Amino acid sequence: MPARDFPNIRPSSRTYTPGNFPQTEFRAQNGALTILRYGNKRVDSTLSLEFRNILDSEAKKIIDNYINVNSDLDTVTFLSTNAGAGISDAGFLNYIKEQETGLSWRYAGPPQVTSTFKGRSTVVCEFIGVFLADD
Amino acid sequence: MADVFRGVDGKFFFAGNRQAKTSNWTVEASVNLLDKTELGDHAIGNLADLKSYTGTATIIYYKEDNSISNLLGRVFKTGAVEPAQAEFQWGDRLIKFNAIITSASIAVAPGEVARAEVSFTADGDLTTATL
Repeated sequence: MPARDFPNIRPSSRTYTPGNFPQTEFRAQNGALTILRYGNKRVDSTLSLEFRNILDSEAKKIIDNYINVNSDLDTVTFLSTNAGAGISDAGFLNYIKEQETGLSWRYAGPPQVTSTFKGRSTVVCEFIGVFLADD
Repeated sequence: MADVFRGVDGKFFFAGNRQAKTSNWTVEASVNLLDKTELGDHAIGNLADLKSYTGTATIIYYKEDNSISNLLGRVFKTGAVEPAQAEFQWGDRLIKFNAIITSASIAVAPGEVARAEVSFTADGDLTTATL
């Protein structure tokens, strides 16, 4: 599953959650909790990027990226020049990029594009970090 | 000595009628801003969004002055408000726009002449601007 670079557009805001560890919990009648842990790797991290009032041509690049990634079932890679913009700590940037963690970014849904002014749009993209079986 | 514009140079027209008893008027332009700040920036980035125009006029209320009656009659009435051209002049300069009267008041007080305070907001862009 090849990876495609996200366009070099800096977001206005970024929300990241590091995901969960896969597990199932059982609670007995007496209240005792049993946890079955299936692995020691995080899954389902999320990344939300908002691009406020960007040029329509930049919005098109994001939609193009969404189509190109999903038509081939690819994943998305980020750099410090797009999703990682403004991050000064290399370790934190690695989490946003999820490149050394075994996770791969996929679009969680289509980008939401809101036209705000002549030639300008606000775009919101949601991504999910998946642990691919063939990696 | 350079010439300046004075109050005597000011005129105000509404719906093509000169409001000859205008004691003062103001016209104001404002522009909304769109935030385009990106992560990593050190200062807020802005884009010019939609602009709008507003104006006010204070008009002394003379009995025989029909023009002020016509102006106030566009809002002190039953039914819909009627927009009209508002024209603000000073000397050979002018600003003109299609105006909606957004507020109007008639004030009478002891020791003072009756006067009307009227506020306008533009419908659309300026029709004419000579500055």
